[in-house]
Amino acid sequence: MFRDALIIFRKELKNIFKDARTVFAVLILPMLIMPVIFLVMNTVSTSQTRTYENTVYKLKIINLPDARFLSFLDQMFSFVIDENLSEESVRNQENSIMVEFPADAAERVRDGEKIDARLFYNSTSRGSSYGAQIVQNALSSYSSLLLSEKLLEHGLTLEDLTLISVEKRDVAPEESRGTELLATLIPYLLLIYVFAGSMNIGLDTTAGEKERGSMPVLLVNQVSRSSIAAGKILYVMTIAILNSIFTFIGLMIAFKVGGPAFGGGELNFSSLSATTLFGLFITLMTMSGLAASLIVLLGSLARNMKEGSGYVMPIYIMAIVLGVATMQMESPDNPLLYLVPFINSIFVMKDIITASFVVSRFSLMLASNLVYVSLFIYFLTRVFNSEKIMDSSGA
Amino acid sequence: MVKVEKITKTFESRRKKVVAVDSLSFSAEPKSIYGLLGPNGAGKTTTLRIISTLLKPDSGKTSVMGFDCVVRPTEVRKRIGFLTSDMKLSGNLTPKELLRFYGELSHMRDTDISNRTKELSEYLDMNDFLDKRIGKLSTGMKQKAAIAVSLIHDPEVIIFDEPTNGLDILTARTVTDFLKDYRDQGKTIIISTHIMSVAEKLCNRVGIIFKGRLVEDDTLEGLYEKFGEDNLEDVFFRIADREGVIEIV
Ligand SMILES: Nc1ncnc2c1ncn2[C@@H]1O[C@H](COP(=O)(O)OP(=O)(O)O)[C@@H](O)[C@H]1O
Ligand SMILES: [Mg+2]
Repeated sequence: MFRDALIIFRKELKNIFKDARTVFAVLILPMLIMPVIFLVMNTVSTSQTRTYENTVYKLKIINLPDARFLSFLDQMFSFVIDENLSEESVRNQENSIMVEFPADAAERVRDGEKIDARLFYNSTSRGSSYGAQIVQNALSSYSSLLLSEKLLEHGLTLEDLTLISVEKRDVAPEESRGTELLATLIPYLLLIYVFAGSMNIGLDTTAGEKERGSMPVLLVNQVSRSSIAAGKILYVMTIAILNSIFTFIGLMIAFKVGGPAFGGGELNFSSLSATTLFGLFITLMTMSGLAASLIVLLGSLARNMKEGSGYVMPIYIMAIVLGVATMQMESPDNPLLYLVPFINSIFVMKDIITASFVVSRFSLMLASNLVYVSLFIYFLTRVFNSEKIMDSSGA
Repeated sequence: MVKVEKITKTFESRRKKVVAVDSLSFSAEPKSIYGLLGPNGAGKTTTLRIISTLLKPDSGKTSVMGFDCVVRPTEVRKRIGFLTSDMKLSGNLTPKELLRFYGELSHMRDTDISNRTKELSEYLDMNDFLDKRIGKLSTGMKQKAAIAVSLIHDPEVIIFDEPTNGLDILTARTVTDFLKDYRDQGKTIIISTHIMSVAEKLCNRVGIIFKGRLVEDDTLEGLYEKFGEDNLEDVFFRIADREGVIEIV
């Protein structure tokens, strides 16, 4: 019986991998898509920063109290003084900023009194916002300078004002440090890809085969219906797993090429040890098995591809919603949640990635998923053995 | 040799109950083509599917070469080749690869599959496209490949649902030529059709089916004689008239 299932499995794989487009969609695309997204976002944001750095800003300073403020500005960015600027023109022009000191600013600086400065910028212009940030930095540097001068009169320095100094120490285990982002992203992406990867293929090999009228020809062969069902599930599962493995690899590449700009500093891929990867792989296997058997079951109940998508879509959407909803969540303690399909795998993957593996949760997840997969396979063989498998209608 | 004895099949779908096949009996002999002739929805496909073990009758008995279709389906499947013109072979495999696949499913030995593939591809004139992807072949080539697939295990009985439906003249000719030739090799062939000329040209014996019931079962000559006509179409309308079936074809 298993031999027959393998014959079907082999044939389906051969058929799909002879098609360059499918190979691309199943293996190459998931590997490329994350790196490309990261790369593009990265390039856009650095090139934007570069534009601002090369911009010459227009600046008007009213009642400049002290030339030292100008030298702070000079160190920080390039600008020209434009005396014609007004609140109106700051609003209407790109890259214009206006600083207004009070009329008695110079005297107040001399007397060491507090000064209320006003900074005019346009928050809807990125250039103006960026420039305003720099001017603000210059203002606070200038403020520190004035403060330290004032303190010096009393024989103090700025450091003397700091009575408590703090040194932060991360006591999280070495291997779980910097894994929070991984723990939010990876389970979610894997769930989506497991579904996306098996949906078309799972429906095509069942509902599609009915629609094309080739199902009866397969069914009049002497192989048992259970073998046919098993071969098809094995095939869809394999594709789903391949798909998610390649997504995973793509994710790793993505953080390599575009990491820094996206909090990549917090990411710690070396924390994914061999054991972690193995645990992830097992979880991934059961999740793929679950998705694949569910999709093949629904596809075999549908009379054509369209009807099949109608059955699978709501579940796919629900899985995405679940994925998003649990993205920021930490794995809960309630053991019942580890019996819920798909959610259980997500939480266990989070545990594994953050190196807080809990044997009982993993076992619950594994056991319940195996039960679900067996149930789906059982129902699938029932469908294949029933006359329902003959129900078909062209699209 | 195929025996169909008083089979009945009812479909129940959402309140509606359809008696697709109603106490239908006939038998088909080796070295002959038996044709089930009837309008759309008469129950032809259902009957052929029951013989092919794809459906189980509610009552009645069907056997192929002595094996009961319900009790020994595997033995029956080993001995039949099932084809339908609805079937669209598709995908990236070549006819050769598909033949290997179906041969393996029939548990044939490797060398037997190779030999049979050679034989069939000579017989059906498929050598030119044996290694081309099935999805890229013309309708005629696909039909030949489908025939070859159903013959890979050298079945004694061929069951062909609407053999020429939707085929161009040339391909239809290939199919009818093949059926005649296969009959002459001593095989038992059962076809269904709603086209008079197909039945007239091909069949040794014709069963006329209306609303699931077989209302006539005779050789062509027997039918002509019985109704005093010289063509099947006139015979058919005489029977339709007698059965009170007006809304046909
Ligand atoms: N799976 C099914 N479910 C419900 N009704 C069906 C099914 N298959 C066939 N029928 C009905 O049974 C009758 C006979 O159908 P069929 O055997 O396909 O006729 P034919 O092949 O002669 O056109 C039709 O009324 C058809 O609608
Ligand atoms: Mg039909």
